[in-house]
Amino acid sequence: MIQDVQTRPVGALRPARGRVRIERPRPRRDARELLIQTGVVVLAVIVWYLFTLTPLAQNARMPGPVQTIVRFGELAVTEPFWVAIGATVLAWALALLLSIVVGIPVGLAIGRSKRAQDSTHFAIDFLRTIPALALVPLLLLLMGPSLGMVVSAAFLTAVWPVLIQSIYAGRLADPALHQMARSFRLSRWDRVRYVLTPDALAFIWPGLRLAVTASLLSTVAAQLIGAAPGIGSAILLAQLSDRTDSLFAYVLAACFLGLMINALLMWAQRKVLWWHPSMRDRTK
Amino acid sequence: MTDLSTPAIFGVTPAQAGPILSLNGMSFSYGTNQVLSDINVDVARGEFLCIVGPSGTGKTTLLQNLAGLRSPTSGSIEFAGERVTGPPAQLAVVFQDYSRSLLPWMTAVDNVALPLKSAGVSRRERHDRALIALAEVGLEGADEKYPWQLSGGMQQRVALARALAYEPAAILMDEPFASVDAQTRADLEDLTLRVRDHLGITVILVTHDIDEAVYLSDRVLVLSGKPATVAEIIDVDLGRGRDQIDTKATPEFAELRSRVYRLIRRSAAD
Amino acid sequence: MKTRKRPWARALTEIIWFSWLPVAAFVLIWIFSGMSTSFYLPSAQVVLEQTWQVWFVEGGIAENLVPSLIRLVAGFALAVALGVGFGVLLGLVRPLESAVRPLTDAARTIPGAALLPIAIMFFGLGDAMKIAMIAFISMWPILLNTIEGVRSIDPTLRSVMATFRITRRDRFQHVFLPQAMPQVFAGARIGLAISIAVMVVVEMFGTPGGIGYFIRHAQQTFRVVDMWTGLVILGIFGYLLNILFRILERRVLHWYHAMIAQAQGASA
Repeated sequence: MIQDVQTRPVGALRPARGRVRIERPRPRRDARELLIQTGVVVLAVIVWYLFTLTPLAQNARMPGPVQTIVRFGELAVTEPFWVAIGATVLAWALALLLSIVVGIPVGLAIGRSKRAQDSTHFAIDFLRTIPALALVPLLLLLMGPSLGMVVSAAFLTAVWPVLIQSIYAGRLADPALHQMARSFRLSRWDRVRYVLTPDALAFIWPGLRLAVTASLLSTVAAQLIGAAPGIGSAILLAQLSDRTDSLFAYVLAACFLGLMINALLMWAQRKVLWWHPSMRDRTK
Repeated sequence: MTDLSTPAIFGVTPAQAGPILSLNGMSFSYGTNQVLSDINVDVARGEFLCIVGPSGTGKTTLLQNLAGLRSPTSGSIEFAGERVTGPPAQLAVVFQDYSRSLLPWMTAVDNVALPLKSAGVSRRERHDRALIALAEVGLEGADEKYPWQLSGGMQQRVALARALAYEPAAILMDEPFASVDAQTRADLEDLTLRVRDHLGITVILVTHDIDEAVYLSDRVLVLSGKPATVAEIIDVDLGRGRDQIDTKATPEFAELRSRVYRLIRRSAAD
Repeated sequence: MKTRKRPWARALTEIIWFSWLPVAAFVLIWIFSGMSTSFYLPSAQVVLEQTWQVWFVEGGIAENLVPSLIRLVAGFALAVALGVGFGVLLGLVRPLESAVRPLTDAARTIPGAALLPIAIMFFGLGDAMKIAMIAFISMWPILLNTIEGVRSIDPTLRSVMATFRITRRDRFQHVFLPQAMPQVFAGARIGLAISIAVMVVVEMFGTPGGIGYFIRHAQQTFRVVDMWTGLVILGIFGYLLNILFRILERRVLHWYHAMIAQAQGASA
């Protein structure tokens, strides 16, 4: 969900590194909304606690909110915890980087040529439907339960949205802007930097968003399946040693990680796409 | 085949007297910003009333109030003898942007029949009524087409047919011909006149085009100023059976046109 | 670039452009895998022969693929029902959507794999767990897209609904739902891809049966060729499902595609 752009009063122009930015007033209902949301979260936690009292939860040895938080706190001061988090973030970032470095240039190039699109159409269509996680057993055989295996699996999942959106960008990026850039005789580098890139970025961005979350999901899943170091294997270990509280603590950690990455994404989106029409009308 | 020429079907029985629509001291403000002030007018049954005014005077706001989408902040609007608190059942609206007022996933005939479905009319009957309405606006044969397969003028005809099939006592039109080319506009204007003459319904049309207002109406209501009030209600005595060329060539037409234009110019200068 | 070729020549050119790469790739793979000495990368010929043998001759389709398919369809259908159902609700009732947003944000960012042990905790290792996982994880893109689709009602259309006094039911059936359909399908397409991935993963952990289990089990018992046959079948299976989905989409959204095509043609 895209949140409202914040703070300054309407019409306040503030140069930001050479770019003009018009800020919008924060809607009055923000405070009230936040209150309600907090209330709902508290309610959810209470429901969780009550649920742990049921025989079903008791049988499954499900930990309650307090237990989970406590265990989380215990783990958060140990080294293995942060090693697991670190390994996950590292794998996620590498896979994402690879996806960008491979996906965007290749996608843009394909997008610009109809022949290239035709040639690769079937291949892309076919390959993207293969779940990369199904390849983990194979990757395990080839690379063992290593960082490389995890990154490969995550890359093979995350590259597709980036590639496909980049193809769109190559194909549909506004020709009027190209012409304008050329008519102003901007140097090629300037052209790329000021016109083509922002314009293409608007197309590519949804793919990047998907790739960010897909990379995280695949990273943890690959770690789980292949017992490679990271949150995934920590969860697996917790389950095997029947420590349900550790299990939940790590799930919570994964959740926090996901939320932080999401927040990062939203911040980046505001910075990068502040000009885009879909971002301008944020008064929902 | 139902005979649409009997005024009784459209809720206008000759015996009924009294205006179909009454605005009594009607005002409207958005918060502290007053847009409309003390509008008074009675619209007779079967009358063709055009509302004109400079852009931004609040014609749209007035229309929204008439349609029951907003409520006046003071004063009242009465339709068919009852106070308007929501969209009246006997009023149909034709919007300016036809491409966004028709449902693209439904054929023309289904679009026309939808309000009838909500009104509880049987499938057979509403289909028939829709076809008749489409024929009335000159679109027989286009019923199975989708709106986006039709030209702008034809789409607006579908919107008009939808209003007609609804069998309202009055039709409200919001700058309905602003988005079509001049030739289509002339055709649609004449169509509207024909329909009114044929069916005896009341038409209230909001427009910024002065020629159109004078050509179509029995009376022209000129809005002016900020906040908008009734500058004048001008009687248009050009009779029935108007013609795009002949009527517009008469000195009476020119005189009326100038009157309206002057009023608007004067109020715009204020 | 219009050349003066005859229509059949033009069609042939198209076919060639679309097929040369896949064909060349296949040939290259055939040749190079045949020369492969790695135990883990068997020759394509052997893999294809084994695929035929295991899956078609020995009834592998019925034994492993069909159960997978059934679970997938069940899970995906549930995902669509939940996603559209809640999507419409949250889309139309804004205060509700904003109130539960922290919960939905959290729920959809939890990596699905992290949920697997929890699902096993409550549902065991059987079909219930697998279907629940598929449904829960796949429903989010559908949910989010439905919310967007339902909210993107044109204000003019709203006025039309109001002035013609369209009933609530008719509004839902004839306006909100069709309006949201393109978005719903976009979400469902993503949901389908996710469903397939989740299906494979849960089968690697749950009770025996299904294509995920087959692949995992083959890997664990070092039957590398069998593992590859599983991957081949999975690839074909996924691809066919997507084609089916696209056919369905073209049917339901025929008005939408035609409308877009018309608009593009007009502005060309």
